[in-house]
Amino acid sequence: MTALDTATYHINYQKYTFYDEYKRIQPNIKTTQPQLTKFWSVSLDPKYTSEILRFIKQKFSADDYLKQIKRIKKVMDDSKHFHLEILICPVQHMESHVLIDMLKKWLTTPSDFELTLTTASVPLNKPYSKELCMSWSQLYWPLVWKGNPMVQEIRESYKNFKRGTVERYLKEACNLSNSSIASYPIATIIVDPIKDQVMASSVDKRSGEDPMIHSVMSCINQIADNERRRRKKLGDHKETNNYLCLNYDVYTTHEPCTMCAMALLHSRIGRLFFIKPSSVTGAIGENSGCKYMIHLSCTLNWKYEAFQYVGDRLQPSKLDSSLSV
Amino acid sequence: MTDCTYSHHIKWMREAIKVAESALEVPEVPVGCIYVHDGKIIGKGFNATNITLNGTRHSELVGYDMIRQTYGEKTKQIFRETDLYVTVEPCIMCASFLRQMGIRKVFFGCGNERFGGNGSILSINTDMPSRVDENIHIDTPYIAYPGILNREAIVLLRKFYIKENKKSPNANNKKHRRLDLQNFPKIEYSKYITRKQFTNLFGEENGWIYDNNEFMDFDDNNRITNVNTERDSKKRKLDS
Repeated sequence: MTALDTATYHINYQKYTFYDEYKRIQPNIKTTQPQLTKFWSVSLDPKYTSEILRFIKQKFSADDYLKQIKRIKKVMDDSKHFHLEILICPVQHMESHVLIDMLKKWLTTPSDFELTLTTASVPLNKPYSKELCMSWSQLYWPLVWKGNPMVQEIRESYKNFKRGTVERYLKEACNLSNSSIASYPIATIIVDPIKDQVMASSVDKRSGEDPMIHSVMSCINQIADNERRRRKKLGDHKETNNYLCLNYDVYTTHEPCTMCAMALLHSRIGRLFFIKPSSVTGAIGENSGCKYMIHLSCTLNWKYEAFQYVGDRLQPSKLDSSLSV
Repeated sequence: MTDCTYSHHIKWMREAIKVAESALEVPEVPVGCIYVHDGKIIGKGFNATNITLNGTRHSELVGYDMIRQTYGEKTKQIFRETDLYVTVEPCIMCASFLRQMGIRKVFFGCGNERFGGNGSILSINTDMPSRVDENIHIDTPYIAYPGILNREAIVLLRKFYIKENKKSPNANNKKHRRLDLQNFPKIEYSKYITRKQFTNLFGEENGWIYDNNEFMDFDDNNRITNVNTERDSKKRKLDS
């Protein structure tokens, strides 16, 4: 956040831009609201601490989104006795009776012990200041403060950001859109960043017969079709990874609509780059459309990074703002 | 017996359940849908994300491809007079797709707690963009009725996951899991529709189902069979 930082890294932490040309679309620090998720928590006497910790370690240790959340909360009841509230897992992951059965089998509680689950609201997104962290801990559930996560996140993102590569593919998408004879000058390219190879590219092909074949959807379909053909040809029926776009980069001339933004989330892409914002129909920008920011909306499953090109060298055609792309 | 105002919707949902059931043999996650236009099924499909290797091939999009192959240029016009019956709440992607296509109404079985786009996570079907200008076209909102054969939809999903767990070599702790037909999470109707919208369809006499977030049960004639024990006991008290 110092002048030196800015010079060495070309990061603007106030505007979230890299090289003054690529704006990383992320929640505004000042207006960050807790994204609360309901969790099962169980209330126990402190003497069961080690048992329950072993239980969590064995059954729920993979849940690494819990790193900033304290597992155990100490609560004093009216008679000045301490008991522990232990966070188990998101309510949507398990039905209460299944979890109670598991707990009863595991814990050495007396047979007449009444085990009850309560629900706790827990913020899964990170607070960006120590003050906010303390206030959320008071309001919801105790959190761990590990320094400003936004600075760490932006630096990590910057490390993987190859300006030349990004610009090359965005230019390619622009050229594709400008040379297209289709009715709408929108183009998308999907790239495997490890091989630095184009995996699919398409212009917008919507027509009266198929008004929904937006360029993002066409690219996702292309990748699946190609892989199906390849597996058929090779007689390859191994059950391998079926997330074919896993961590791929997507370059598109216009900010995607809700359908396309969510299709990219279902396909588990890594990053999205777009040039022109879609103020009414867009689903990524913090002020676009209904302000969904779909790339960050489903915290338990997957999210991807999104960048808007804010420079003035790349210029795809402007579109009617009520058009979903 | 004459049909009541909602019974044909239940009849159609039974068809959607049948479509979803056929996914179990493939095997795919058993979510199924049918599109009904003018009293006829014009499109149907089940989730096909595994066989196609394409995470976007949800039942709604599979059914759509069938419709556009029949109707071509007229597809969008047909959609405006078409209702969708789908066993699980449309995800955010499909909810947006349906709105852009101008679907008339949606009926669904159980909610989709991870990706639901008709009220569970986001309300894509009714939200309005913050920047509204009379010259700008906004896709027409649609109503999505939850809880139609909710239990049947959940049982299908459970059957699938039990089968999948048996295949997985690491699932030793789930091996003995039986199909649970007793316990179901409650549905919170107010997340999806208003009480008025509910009673307009199911009648004022069934408003208590909405208030108590009860599952709806239907008989062979597709009429609601839920009994309001609270009200009946009060009535009995008054009678005596």
